[in-house]
Amino acid sequence: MRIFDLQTSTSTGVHTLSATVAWEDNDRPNVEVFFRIYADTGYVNSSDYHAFLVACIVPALHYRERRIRIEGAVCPWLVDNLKTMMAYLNHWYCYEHQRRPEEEVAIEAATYLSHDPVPHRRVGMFFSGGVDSIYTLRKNQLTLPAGHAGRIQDLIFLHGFDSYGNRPKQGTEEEAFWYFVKECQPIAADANVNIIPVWTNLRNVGMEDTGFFVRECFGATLGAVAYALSGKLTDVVIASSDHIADLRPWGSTPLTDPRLSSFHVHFHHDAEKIKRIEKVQAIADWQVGLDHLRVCFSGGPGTLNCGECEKCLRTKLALLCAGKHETTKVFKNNDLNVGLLLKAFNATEASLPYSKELIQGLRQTGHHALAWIVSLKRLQFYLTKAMNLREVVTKVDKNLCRGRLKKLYLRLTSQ
Amino acid sequence: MIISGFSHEQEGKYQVLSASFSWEDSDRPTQEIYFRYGADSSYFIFENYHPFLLAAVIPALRYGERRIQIEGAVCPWLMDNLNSFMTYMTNWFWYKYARKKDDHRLVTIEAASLKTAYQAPARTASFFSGGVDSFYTLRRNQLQVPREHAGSIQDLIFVHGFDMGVYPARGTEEDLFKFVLNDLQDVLQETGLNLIPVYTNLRTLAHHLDSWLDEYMGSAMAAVAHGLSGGLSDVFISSSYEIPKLHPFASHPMIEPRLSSYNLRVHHDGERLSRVERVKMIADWPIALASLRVCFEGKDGEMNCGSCPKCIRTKLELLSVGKLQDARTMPGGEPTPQTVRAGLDLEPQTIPFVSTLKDALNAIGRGDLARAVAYKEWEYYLSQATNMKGLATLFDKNVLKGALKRKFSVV
Repeated sequence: MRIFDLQTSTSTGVHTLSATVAWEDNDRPNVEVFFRIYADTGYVNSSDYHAFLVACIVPALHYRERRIRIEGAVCPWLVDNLKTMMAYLNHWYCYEHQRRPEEEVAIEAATYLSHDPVPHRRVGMFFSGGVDSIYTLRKNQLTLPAGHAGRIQDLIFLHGFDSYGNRPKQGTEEEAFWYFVKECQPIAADANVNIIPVWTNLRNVGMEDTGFFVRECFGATLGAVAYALSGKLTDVVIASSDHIADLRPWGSTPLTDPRLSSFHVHFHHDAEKIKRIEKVQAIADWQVGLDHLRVCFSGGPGTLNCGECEKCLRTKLALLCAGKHETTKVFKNNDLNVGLLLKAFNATEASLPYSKELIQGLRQTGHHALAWIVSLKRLQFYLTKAMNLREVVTKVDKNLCRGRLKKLYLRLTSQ
Repeated sequence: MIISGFSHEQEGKYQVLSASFSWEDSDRPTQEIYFRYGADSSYFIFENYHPFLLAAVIPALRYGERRIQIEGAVCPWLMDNLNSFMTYMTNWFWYKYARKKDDHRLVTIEAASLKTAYQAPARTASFFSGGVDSFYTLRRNQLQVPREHAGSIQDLIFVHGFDMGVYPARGTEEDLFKFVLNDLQDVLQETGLNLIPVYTNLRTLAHHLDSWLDEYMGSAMAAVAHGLSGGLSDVFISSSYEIPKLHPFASHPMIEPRLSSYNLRVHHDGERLSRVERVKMIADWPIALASLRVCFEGKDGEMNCGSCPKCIRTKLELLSVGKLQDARTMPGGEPTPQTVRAGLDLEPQTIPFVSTLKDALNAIGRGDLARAVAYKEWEYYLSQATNMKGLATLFDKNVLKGALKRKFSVV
């Protein structure tokens, strides 16, 4: 893979950073990757290719590019950290991808001899309006005194990631995105932070598959956006999705997020010490955060959350445990009953840890019927998995046969 | 626990930080903890309680202290990070702490005030023991990072009071410490780096050996590093284990970032390579082979004894990369299957190294040695399977959810 032709342009106050990504060992077409940044020009880092290197490293590894060649210099700390990140991905997904542990993409670039740091450190965070990011912002505001350099000053809003612009049937979702940005203004005003919307098409670099994106890529892609803004940002906080007890191989983890760092730009994985239900309880006392919570991707202009999907339902249940369900206005409706849960609440691999917390919380607050339904849904999930023969064989092969069945299958099918 | 009475004095070439630790929920007497740094005053900042806070966290958790009260300022990022650190520890070691699995009570950190951030100079250090892992971190950094880069290691931190001078039967081992310091002069000359010797008695806060390796070592190193945070922005701690072998441990890639303040970042380094691969990397560096120190039992002017389990393992690793004959600090010659069977006693901390070692020995055609290692591996597992105390612990932990431990635990 080659990354070249770094460009910047400005139009009506919007700055675009772009470069061309050309595949070498795959037939995939070239992609002109862009970051469209709605912030002042000081944020835009056009002096190096870090944003594009970090954006492309995981797809390059996945599609077995032998190298990424950069026409410029990169920080040696970043190169070493990315090698370690690739090692984690190889270890976690060696069965799925049949890669050897030592496989990596060679990074060919000049090495920074020295790098003048930005004069003042500045902290930003990725903000989706969900429970995790609202909690991280709130905690930062409460634990760091005003004026402390570690206080978050910028919220980065993304278009082109997991919502807004990645669902072809929904179009560009431009209107929904700007509605969401506008809805979060009160949060930003209350916390005295700056909003930076960023549009990007970097998922076009081989990350179209959502499963691959969330399991392996999304941390690095957040890192890419942060590097595009590293003209001013020196520290970037990524809110954790999972509690310590439930950490698993995922696109963003406490093991991999720090490995996105260069010497001058530091990535911090935040708040894995607290369970999601506890995060909801913590933000439930922050009215402005509660009033602008966005947890699902099915809302649109006029409404942040649909109120009926699995994510909405589990958030409603958590709010119920915190005693705030009736007062919240962020859902299309506040319906929450046994019938609705039976119909629409389905446990998934990603949401399994949260359902366990919910059962405990619901029991503690006397909502035994709802707790029972959530337990039933968990059981349903496990039964479905147990009856899926392919899943069972995969588990046995992975854990007992050390992948030998898969290797045999691949050998036979390649002949 | 109350930490008070911070003091910073100069004693000759050493800067000495000390503070008083008073236990509140335990009968333990008040202790004076010190850090003696062989570094100039530019590395130090005013009234820095961070080393003492970091030294206190694990003992406070272990001995059931409800709070650590600091009579000084603490960085709020460090406080938040330490809450995460404690949460990792209570998740991993709930059984050792005689708690229920879902009991994640933390020690409350109370500071007189919150430190504002300051701009530390961009300068990088690394903990250095003279062993394989720390030589690897140094070598990798020197090969990959230009000397002009602020991320190039400039200082090596060498500590007395971690593995030297802690066993009463061996005395203070100050002579041994000075001997090793002296022997590292060649390394310093070749690399142009600065060595900072540090003496500390922080291990007296937690006398259990098992808590040192499993829980305390990482935060103890971070404690030492934070004392130098006036002159450092980043510090490396070399990884003991490779990625597939990572397990709850005092030094871990999820732990080191949580020992960082806003101004001093602690980094875990080297987990992407196995120990054999790290040995291979340093084996091409003559100064490393001439200065390697892996054990504390060297006699008659030798850096290493050559016959303890650690020495035998390192010799096998060096043999597997074809460099044992060049390792001047490893006496006793090439291990034989007999010496391996007699001397390579394995422990929970060292069993993870065995599989890659066997593979490496087989790869060079030394199946005899690989089989001897396998023999010791089976011996270890058999001893675990027939260890009644171990089996009872397993039963209590997994079936009784720690009920017996909670009932009969004595700290």
